[in-house]
Amino acid sequence: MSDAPEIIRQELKRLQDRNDYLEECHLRLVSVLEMLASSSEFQADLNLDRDNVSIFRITLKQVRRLLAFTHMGFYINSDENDFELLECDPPAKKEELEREVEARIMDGSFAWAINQTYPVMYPAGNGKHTLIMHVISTQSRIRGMFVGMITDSKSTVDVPSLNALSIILVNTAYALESAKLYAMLRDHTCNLEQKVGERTKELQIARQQAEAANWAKSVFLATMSHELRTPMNGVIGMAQLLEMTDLNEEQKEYVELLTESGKNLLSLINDILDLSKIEAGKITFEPTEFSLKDCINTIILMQKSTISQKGLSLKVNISNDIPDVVLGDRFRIKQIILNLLGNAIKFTLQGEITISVQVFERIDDSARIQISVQDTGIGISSGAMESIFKPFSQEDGSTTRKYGGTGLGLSISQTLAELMGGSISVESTQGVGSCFKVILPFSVVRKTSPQKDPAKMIDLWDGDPQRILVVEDNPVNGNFIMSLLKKVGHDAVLVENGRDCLAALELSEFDLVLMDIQMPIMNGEEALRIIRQKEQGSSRLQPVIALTAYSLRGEKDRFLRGGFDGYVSKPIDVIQFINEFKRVLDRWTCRRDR
Amino acid sequence: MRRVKPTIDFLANEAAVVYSLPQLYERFNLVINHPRSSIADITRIITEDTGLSSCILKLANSPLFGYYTNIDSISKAVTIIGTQQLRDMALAISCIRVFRDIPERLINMTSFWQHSITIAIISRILAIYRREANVERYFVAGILHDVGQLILYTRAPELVKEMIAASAKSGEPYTKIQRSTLGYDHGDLGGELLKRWGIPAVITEPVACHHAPGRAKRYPLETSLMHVADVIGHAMQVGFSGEPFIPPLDECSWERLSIPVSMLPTIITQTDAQLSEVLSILSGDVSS
Repeated sequence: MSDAPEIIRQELKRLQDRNDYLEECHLRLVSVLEMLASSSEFQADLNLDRDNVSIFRITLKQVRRLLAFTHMGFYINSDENDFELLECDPPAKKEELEREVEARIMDGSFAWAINQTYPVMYPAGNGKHTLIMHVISTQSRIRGMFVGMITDSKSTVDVPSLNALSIILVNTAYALESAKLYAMLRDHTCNLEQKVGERTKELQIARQQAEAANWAKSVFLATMSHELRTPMNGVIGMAQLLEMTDLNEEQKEYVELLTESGKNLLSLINDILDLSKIEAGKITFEPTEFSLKDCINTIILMQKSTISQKGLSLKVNISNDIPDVVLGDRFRIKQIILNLLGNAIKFTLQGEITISVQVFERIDDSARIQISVQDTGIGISSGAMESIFKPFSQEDGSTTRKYGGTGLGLSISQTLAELMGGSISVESTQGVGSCFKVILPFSVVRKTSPQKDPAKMIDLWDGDPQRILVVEDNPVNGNFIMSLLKKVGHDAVLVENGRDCLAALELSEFDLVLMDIQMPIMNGEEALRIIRQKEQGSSRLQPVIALTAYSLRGEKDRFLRGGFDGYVSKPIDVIQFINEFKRVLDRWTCRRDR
Repeated sequence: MRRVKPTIDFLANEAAVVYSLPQLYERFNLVINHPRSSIADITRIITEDTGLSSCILKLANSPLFGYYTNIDSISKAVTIIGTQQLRDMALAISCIRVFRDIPERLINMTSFWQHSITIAIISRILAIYRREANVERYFVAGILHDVGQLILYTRAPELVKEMIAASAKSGEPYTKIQRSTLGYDHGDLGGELLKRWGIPAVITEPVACHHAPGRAKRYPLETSLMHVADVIGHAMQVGFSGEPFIPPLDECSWERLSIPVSMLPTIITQTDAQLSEVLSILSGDVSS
């Protein structure tokens, strides 16, 4: 009996111990679980913070709640595959902690710990602490190492705490990894933006270079105008002179062909140069008062022979309300209409061409006039409609071979029309015909006296023979002009440059000087300046006509302002040349007579 | 004459009476989970069993761990291998000892453990590759995965003979015959015994479901890993635990592990490298 209470007491004691143990375990587990549960906040913090140090600081705060570490720190895996202590708590114990870890690195246990997924523990060198190392790694890579020291007396290394430590450090590893990935993503985005920026800049530069090159080409061509037209002047001029000599039928035919080809080539050169001028932004307009009706009649006159040669008929409808005199750039307007008519003739094999002129819109003294050219030609396919206004494009390659031309005309015409504030449109049915309509703005000039179209004054020289000094360095042009003047009955002397011109004027009197501008030794402008200088105070004034390949129309004003009395552009058109000649002399005669 | 088929509970209960887990496992668990336990406390428990201690030290110094220098004391093993890891090691060793007296005429135990240890090592390597925490848990599960076979061999040897004959005759896997004959397989039976031993579900479920990983409810990943390791181990043809056929691979399990196929040769090479030494340590303990 006496044994029984003893057994019961022992059993009671055992159960009491067991109960105490379980209670303690229970409390510990609850606290660990609580700590882990509260780590949702910790995880949110980890995700917010993007740099390693702050991720480590948050982790240290959390670890501190779990185990009583006296020293704690993080080693990170730097790029050189070296581990360095990045964060230490408390900072004052950094050296001590480093010393312990250094020893573990030396004996290889640090390397061992890196490959374990659980905390590895070592008695510290000072004999009072236990060093705990736990790798910070994700499944893909090792990010660093947690190291902590705990006093032996307090070393509670129970499984729940160690597991909780693992959980925290795995979270830390993933936070580090997402931070790294996030940084990479940001870098990539940043790089991409930078690359796009660089590429855009490069493209801009390339575009500017291309534009500059194109501009330079246009400038080159525009200035080449002189070089191209001067020899053409010679060719056409000589052919014209040749026509005036006694020729047999065969020779006459050859000369006509020569003149024709020369004119064709000149018109091609003019087209190319025009386009270049447009592209180079060098084109200028020179509005003058003129009769639109007369202008159109002149154009028709010029093309009449071609039209009848092809067996086509031509209808002209000029509306009655078309103003008599308008202000506009006659030359350019003529160019546009001539181009449209030329195209109509070129692409029509049979049938008729109709030119209609009507007022499209009129407000007071400004009028928009529509000139349409309709043909019964081959027409334009709908696919080609858009491209026909682009330079160098005819409907297709075969068109060029079959009908000739450069494909520049429409492009030039359209640009000219647009620059003048007008437009060109086209309606066409393939195989039936096309109708080009150009609408141009004009200022209406209220004048009763109708101006004479100079082009109509094609009568020959009817005045007295004149004594003329021709200053021209190009012998072909010089000869041409000399022959022309002599044919008409004038007395002409040829010199080669400005200096010789001045010498000739010293020696003798001339009724008129025809002065080339670009010449070696002394140019035309310089020679004129000296002539005018010498005239100061004298009653005698020398009429001088500029003879220039500068067919840039804007230059005409400059020459006239510069003291020239007239202006003739090369290649010389005989009729224009004689008319200008007459005009200047008439004016001088008038002035002298007064 | 129709034989009465033993139920799973009947066999498990009977086995639990015959084969009991040493108290050590429970005491170990108590200590390592104790909020105030120290490394010294844990060391003391293991060193009480000298056979176990020496076996653990041998394992700790084997290629299984590949520690760079000699682990010469249990206290060092505790710190380096980890407390839970050591507990699971101890459990594996203890279990092998539990079944050491099964007579040779029923089953060749050396061959049986060869198979089980192979699976244990493969499981552990797969777990290491996946950087799972506490890979020793997978090791012990591997050791224990076929204990159901041992129960059948010892508790129903006649039935086993019939089932093996049926398997050989029909060409169907032995496990499948078990299921059609008994309504459960050796996995289920082993799981039941381990449950009665108080082994946690993280080990018992993979053991129970290693031939039907789809049935795992709580630990599908651990079960999948066990299943894949078993297939690989069978393919390596090391040892024998009753099943003559390579079990069919469950594709879901393979995909769940997300281990590249290119890893397989490495897994097999590593297993080979560790097998013989671990085998001699553990079977040496068996024979001692």
